[in-house]
Amino acid sequence: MTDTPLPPLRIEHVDAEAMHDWADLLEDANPIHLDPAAVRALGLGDAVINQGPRNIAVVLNAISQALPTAELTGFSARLLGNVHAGDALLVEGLHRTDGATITCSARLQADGRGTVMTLEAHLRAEPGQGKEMP
Amino acid sequence: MIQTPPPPPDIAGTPLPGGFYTISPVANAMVCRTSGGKPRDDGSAHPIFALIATQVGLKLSVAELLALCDFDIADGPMMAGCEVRFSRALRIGETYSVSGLIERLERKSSQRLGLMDLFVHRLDLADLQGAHVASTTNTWVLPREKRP
Repeated sequence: MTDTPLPPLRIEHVDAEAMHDWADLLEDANPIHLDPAAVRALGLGDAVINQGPRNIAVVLNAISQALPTAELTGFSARLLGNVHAGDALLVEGLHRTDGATITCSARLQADGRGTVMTLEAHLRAEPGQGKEMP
Repeated sequence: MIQTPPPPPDIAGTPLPGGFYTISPVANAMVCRTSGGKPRDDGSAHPIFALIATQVGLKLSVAELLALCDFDIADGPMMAGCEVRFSRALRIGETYSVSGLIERLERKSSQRLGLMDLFVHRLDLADLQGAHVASTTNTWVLPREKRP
């Protein structure tokens, strides 16, 4: 078994406008995603904070693009810091295949603030394996 | 004198009201477009819908969910992590039933955030025949002190 690097995925600029779309989608009116004044009042910085699920989606995209035929069976994510509007993001990581199972360890980095999330994903190398037959 | 907030309510084991969620192609396209991805052409939805569908399909807004913890959404809750398991891929256009349970609400202290509560809840998605599709156990941080 050898570790294979994930092709890096870069997001040049986290868009604040999309946070409104995600707030609507998630039905989550948490003001830290919508109002810079609320972020400042809480001592969390000056720019609105990206939704955690959107950060996770970025990392899952990097994994999906690296392993397009594998089937995701689970993942765990630890959010270690905030991603703010305007941040540049980079996803890096490694994956390892053991039989039909692929384990992928990835991290999301925000410019100037280091690693803001780690994620471990488990995938099935051959989709459909292990499913019950009718 | 510094006032200590009251202890969190004892709500571990409380079931959450259930509901339904259907993944729309428009929502799936928005999620992909705004996260550096693109929709798959096999009808499967972005896996992040395990979090979205459970949160929205619960039929309890985030503010209402946090109110169970005696926490005001205006005080800046933050997601700390999640563990997601899939029995199979989520599909665009498919409707799922959602159920959930509060696992724990614990007072903690952190150097960065000060006094806070960790709120852990589990949410499940099943298809309309009742077969399990996905589960997530979410951990949120609820700050109990204003930061300077």
